[in-house]
Amino acid sequence: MTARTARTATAAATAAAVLAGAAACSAPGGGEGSGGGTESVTVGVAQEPETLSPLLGYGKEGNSKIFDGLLTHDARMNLRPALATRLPQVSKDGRTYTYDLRKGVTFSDGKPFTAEDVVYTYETILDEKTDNPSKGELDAVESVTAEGKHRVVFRLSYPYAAFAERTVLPIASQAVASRTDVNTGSYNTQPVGTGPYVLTRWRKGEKLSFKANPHYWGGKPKVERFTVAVIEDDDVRATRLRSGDLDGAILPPDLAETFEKDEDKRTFSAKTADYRAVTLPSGNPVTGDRAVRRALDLAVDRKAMVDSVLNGAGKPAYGPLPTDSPWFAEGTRRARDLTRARKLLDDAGWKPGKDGIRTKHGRRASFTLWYFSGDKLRQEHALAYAGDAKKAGIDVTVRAGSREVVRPRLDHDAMLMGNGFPADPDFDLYPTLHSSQIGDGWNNLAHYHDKTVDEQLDTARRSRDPEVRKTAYDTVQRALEKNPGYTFLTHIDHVYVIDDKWRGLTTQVEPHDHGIGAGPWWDLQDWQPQE
Amino acid sequence: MSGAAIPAAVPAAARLVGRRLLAAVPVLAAVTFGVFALAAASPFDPVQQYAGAAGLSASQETLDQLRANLALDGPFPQRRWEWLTSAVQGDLGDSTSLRQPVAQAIGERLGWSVLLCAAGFCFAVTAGTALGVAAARRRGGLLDRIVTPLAYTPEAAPPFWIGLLGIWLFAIRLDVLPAGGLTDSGSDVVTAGRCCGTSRCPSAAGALVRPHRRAGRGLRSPGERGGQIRTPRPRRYASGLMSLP
Repeated sequence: MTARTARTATAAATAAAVLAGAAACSAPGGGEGSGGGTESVTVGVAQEPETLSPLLGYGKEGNSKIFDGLLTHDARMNLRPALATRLPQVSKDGRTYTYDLRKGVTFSDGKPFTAEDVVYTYETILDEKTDNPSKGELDAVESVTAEGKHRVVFRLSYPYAAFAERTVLPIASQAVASRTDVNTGSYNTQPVGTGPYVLTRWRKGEKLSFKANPHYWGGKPKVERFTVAVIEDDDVRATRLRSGDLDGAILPPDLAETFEKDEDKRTFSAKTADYRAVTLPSGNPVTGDRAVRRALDLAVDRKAMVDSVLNGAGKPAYGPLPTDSPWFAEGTRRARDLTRARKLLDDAGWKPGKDGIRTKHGRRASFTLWYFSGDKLRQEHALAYAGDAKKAGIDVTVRAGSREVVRPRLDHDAMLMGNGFPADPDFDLYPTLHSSQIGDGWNNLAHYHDKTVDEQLDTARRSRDPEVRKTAYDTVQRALEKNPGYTFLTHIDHVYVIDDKWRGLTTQVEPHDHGIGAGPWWDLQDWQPQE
Repeated sequence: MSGAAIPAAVPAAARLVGRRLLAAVPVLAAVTFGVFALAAASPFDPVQQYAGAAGLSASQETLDQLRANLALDGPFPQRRWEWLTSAVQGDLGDSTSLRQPVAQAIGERLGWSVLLCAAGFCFAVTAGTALGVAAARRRGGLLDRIVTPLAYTPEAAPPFWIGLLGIWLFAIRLDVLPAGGLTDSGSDVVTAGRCCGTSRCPSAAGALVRPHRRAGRGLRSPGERGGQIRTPRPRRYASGLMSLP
């Protein structure tokens, strides 16, 4: 045997081994590419869900693809019946909600959907052994009972006007889910629902694959296959969109701009309730001073932040409610007014020191502003905020830290926070501004305490009269203008780029935490190919 | 080769394996103790990690309940002992980030990891040996002068950058491999042909990317990314490359 033939033999053996290994790991079925048709859609998102079980919080804002809620939101965020046949009947005292359920609906395993599944879903979420971090959203629920197979009655412990908005929550199959451990069982990765799509595969960290549910009660979707690729890095997502591997993706505004000249693609700038704000803790003598709060509110250049930090994809925020929300109190927009900010501080006794930073009774007008490490958007907001504050003579030190580092300091220090739930004003205003929420987890971080605000928030929470609620929320927003315990900075648009192959695509008003249910594919089951 | 050598070699090998296995016991004990101690010493809060985005709007009551449910209270030697006793009985516990049993999480990924490593190893050995021998035939020759720097370049370059370059070359310019994962994003099935073709890119680049990937992932459990080329954070680094057509 010469050296050369030995080498060739080794190489051949190696190649055979590689091929054998590759064949061993292959899955059955023929290979199909993503293709250029309209029957399959592949989109790229930045984050994947931690679980696909509604019992642990998946899809609680709706549009979960695999599941349906009792209700759903349309493009304008109005409630529409889904698994219910109509909007709930609400008792006079606002504490009993009755839902009539659709008949003849089946889960994707063929089992019928009944009121017991609804009861099971809500009761399991509220069970203290269930590790659902969002269960507090349902804390108004006292009991949920089935009346026959097609009616469900919720009893609330207090009248809660926004409750119907919570019932977009997906309904799990009792028959399947109750057989497994709710926290770690297979229902987290192999969900069974009534929704327009069925999960075919979830490769964690890579992608989720869905196929249309042929027996969907709303009619079989035209888009046959739906793939959600999980691509954390923005540049890689843009590259894969450009290469044709993806049909659509969420992108930062600067990268979305690079697709503007591409005639085959459309850009969607989804309006959101996703705000960024600075918490101004009441316990800190600087940030707790109403004059300082108002001066900061006037000194901050929101428009410049929208233009420079957000590349224009967003709008100034004056409170948690976006300026284009029907609940926004007109007349509470504040233009930047540095002169007035300075005068407010002068009048309150904050006098400029040698270094330009103001002092009062020997105390420097300075505080620390935290943001979560690695969050570039919050960092840029924080730095812009510090720059604006300096012009009014207030020294803001910007620091980064993890949740664990930041949280213990927030009774005294400020934080660049983000949140936003579009479905009802109660969802943002109550946890952020009501005094009962002070120090409760990450809620009311400013320790905001205002008697009028508390009263109005309670009124708006309990009354089901839209006029009463609107007046109450107007009063809250005006009180916030007079005593801005948070400096609200911007509402951020979520930008999506997608192939121009389907008719009439829209976006909803999106929440801060936007997963698979957000984006132009929120109503994928209704998509129609272009003629 | 003499016939007597083989029976003599077998007990020797068995003794070696036995010794190694015995040595692994104290090592594993020390390592698990170290991991639990480090976790206890770090400010990292597993409840916040588990709750994710929802943790920032959860009530304190919910967060406290989660802590109790996840059995995260109590001193760490006690928690380690509880983990160890169940691990010995075959229960490795549950992954809080994956919401599934750890044993299942490892099992699902093992095959792909083996494929990735095996393919990468075979490629490295085959190409490396062939090029090395060819270059050594004429020291200082043209081939030697090309191959030697070529061998050093991947060592010196940031691995994620090579990963990106690989995506750009094989997926965008040549269009022979998918830009990530084992198949095209839109394709749901893994076939031998596809798998064979695609495993080359991730294994070559993936092997290079790996050290960075580990560092970047922080406290998540290892191996959860499957066979995907994952390009870590430093995004601006990459934008120059990405602006190429």
